[in-house]
Amino acid sequence: MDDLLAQFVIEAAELTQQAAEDLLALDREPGDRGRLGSAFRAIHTLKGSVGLFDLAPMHDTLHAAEDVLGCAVKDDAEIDPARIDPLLAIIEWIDRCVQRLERAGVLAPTAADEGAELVLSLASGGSAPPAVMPMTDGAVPSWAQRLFTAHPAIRERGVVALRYSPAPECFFNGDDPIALMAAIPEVFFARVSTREDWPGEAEFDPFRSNLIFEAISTAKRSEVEAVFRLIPDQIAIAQDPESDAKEFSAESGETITRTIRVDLARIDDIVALAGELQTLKSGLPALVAQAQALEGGIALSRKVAAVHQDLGRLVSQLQRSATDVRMVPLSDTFRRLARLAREISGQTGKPLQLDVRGGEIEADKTIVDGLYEPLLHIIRNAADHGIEAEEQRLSVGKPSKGTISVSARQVGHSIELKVSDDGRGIEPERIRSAALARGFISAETAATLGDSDSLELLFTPGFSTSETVSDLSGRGVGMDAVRASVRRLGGKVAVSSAFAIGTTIVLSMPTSFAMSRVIVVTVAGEQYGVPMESITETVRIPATAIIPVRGGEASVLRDRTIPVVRLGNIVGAVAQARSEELMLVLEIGAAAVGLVVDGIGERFETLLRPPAGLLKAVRGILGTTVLGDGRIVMVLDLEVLLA
Amino acid sequence: MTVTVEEQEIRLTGRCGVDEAETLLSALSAAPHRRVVLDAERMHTALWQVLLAMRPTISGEAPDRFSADYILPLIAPKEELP
Repeated sequence: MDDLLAQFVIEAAELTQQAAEDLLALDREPGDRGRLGSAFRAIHTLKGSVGLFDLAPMHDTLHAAEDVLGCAVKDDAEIDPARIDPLLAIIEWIDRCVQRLERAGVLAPTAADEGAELVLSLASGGSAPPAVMPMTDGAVPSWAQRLFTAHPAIRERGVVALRYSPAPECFFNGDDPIALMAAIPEVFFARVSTREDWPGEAEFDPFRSNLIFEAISTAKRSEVEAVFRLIPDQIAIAQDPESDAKEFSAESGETITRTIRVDLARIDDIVALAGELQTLKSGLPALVAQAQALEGGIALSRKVAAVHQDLGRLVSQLQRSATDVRMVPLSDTFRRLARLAREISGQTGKPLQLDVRGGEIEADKTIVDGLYEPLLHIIRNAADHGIEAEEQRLSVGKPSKGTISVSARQVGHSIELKVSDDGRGIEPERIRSAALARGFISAETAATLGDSDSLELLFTPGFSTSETVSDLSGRGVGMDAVRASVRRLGGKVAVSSAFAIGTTIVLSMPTSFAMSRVIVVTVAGEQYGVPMESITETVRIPATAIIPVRGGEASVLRDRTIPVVRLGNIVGAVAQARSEELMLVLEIGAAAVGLVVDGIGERFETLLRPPAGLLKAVRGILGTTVLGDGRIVMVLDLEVLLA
Repeated sequence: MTVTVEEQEIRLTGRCGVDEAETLLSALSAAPHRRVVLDAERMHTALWQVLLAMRPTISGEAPDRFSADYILPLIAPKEELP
C-alpha cells in the first residue's frame, strides 16, 4: 500500500468516526448546529481525500451525503430525521470500504452497485428531495432577508444578520442592550427602532426598554451568538444563505477533532526549548553557592535551591511531555514491511511469510522511521541468504513457505526488535574461512575465534559470504550498513544463529533520544561538542611529550603509550605550535586515544538527535545542539572520526 | 455624581448606570433647554432612551463606536425636525 493511501486509511477512520458520532448526536438532538456542521465537515473532508484516488463509488456516495448535510447547513434547517439512518448506513459502508482498501488495496467489485443503492435509499429516506427540505424556524426570516438585500456589497464575505428585541423589563435583569450591541464584533450596519412611539413626558418610564436593534455583522456566527448567550429568547440570528455554506461550516467553531497533524519542526522547537530550559536550570546551583557566600545569604540560598528543585521537576515533566508528542507506534514502519516481503518473495521465487508482532509499541518518530532501512536490509538478507529454496526446505522437512518474523517488545526504556528467519542459519566456520580468505583476520585469529565472535565478523564492512551477488542484498549493503544505521539511531545490533534452524538478529533501540552530557571543546577558534561519556580524563602535557611515531603521533601517559590525534587536523584547522598541549583521553572500545584540543569550555546536558538534512551525509557528526546562548555546535562522533 | 445638573447643561461623566436615568429625565423635564454634555465612559441604555425620547441638544462624544454611529444620529434636536 503506498504511503498516500496509508495516510488516507488513518484519516478516513477518524473522519467516519467523527461523522457517525455527529449523526448519532443529531438523531438525539436534531437542532444541534454544531454537530450538523461537524458532520458536514467530516464528510466534506473525506470526499476531498477520496478524490485523490480512483475510488469513484466512494466519492459519489459521499457526494450525495454531503449534499444532504450541506443543504441543511446552508438553509439553517434541521436535518430530516428519516435521513439519519441512510446517512449512517453510508458511513458504515465507507468504513468497510476503507478496511478493505487497507487489506486489499482495491474496492470490492460490487462497490459501485452498493454505493448506488445507498444513494437511492438516502434520496427516498427523506420525505422530500434535498432542494425542498422543509424550512423550520431556522429558515431566513423576512427581516433578515431585507437586511441582506439592502447591503449586497458585503454579502460575498458571508454575513450574519441579527434582530435583538430586548424585553421591556430587561433593565431589571441587569441587561444593557446598547452595551450588548456595542460588543458585537465587526458590525457593518445597524438600525435602531422603537417598540412603541416614545410617550409623553408624563407617561415615559425610563426603566422600560423600548428599543429594537437590527444589524449585520461580518463576524462569525458563533462570535455573534456568544454576545447574546444569556438571552437567547430575545435574539434572532440568521446566516446569509448566499454566503458559502462551506465557509460557514469551517468557521462555525466547535471543531471536534481528537488529533491534529503538526509539522515535526514545530514539535522539535518545543523539545529543543525544553532542552534549553534544562541547560538554563543547571545554572541555578551556582547561584545557590553564591547566595550562601553572602552574609546572611543562607535563607536566600535555601529559597533558590527550592526554586531549583521545583523548576527541575517541571522542566523534566515538560521534556517528557514534549518527547511523548514525538512518539509513534512501530506499526508505522512495520506496515511497509509486508509489501516489501511480497516483493522479495516474487523476486527470489521463495514463498515467504512475514509475521509481525508488537507494532503497538511506541518510539520516537525518527527512530521508527529510521528503522525501516535496517529492517529492509535484514529482511532482504534473510530472504536471500537465510531462507532456503522451496525444494531444499521440503527435503529437510521444513514447511515450503519460509517464515520471517519481526517482533518488538519493550524492555525498560528500550525496545528489543527481533528479526528471525527459519532458514539455514549461519555456520561460524564458513564465516571464519571467508574472513580469512578476504584478509579480514589472520590465520591465528581464525583458529582461536569463538563462534559468537565469528558472527560479529558479519558486521565487518565489505563482508559477504554469498558466492553469488544477488539482486537483492547486492554488493556493499551488508550487515555493516545495518549496524551503522542502527548506531546512528543510538541502538545496538547483535546476531545469533543456529545452523539449519535459522538466524535471529536483535536490534536494541532506545524509545527516545535521551539527554547526553556534552563538553564544548575549541580548536582554531571553532567550537565542537564531545560526548562526555567517552572522556576518561583531561591532561596538560608538554608539547615535547608528544612524539612522532611513523605516520602518526603518540604519547606516554602513566606508562601506557597511547596514540595522539589532533582535533585540528581532523576538522581541517591546524593549530599553532604551543609549549603545552591540552589533551582529552578517550576510551574507545578497549583502546585509549589522546585528542589534542585548544581548550575546553562549558559542560551541559543536551538532547542529541541524529543529524538530518545535509549534515546527515557528513561523517563523524552525532548531531547538533543549541548552547544556552543560542549558538549551535556540532557534536562529534569520535568513534567514527578516530577509526 | 455622574449626572451633574447645572443651570445651562447636564454633564454625564464616568459610568452612568441605569438608576441615573431618572435623574436625567427629571433634569431634562424641568428644563428641556439644557444642553446634555456627553463625557461618560459608559452610558446605560436607559439614559440613551431618555435622550432619544426628549431629544435635547447634545454635545460631547458617545462612549463607544456603536452608540456614536447608530444612536447619537437619532437624537436630532426637535426644532430641526420637519
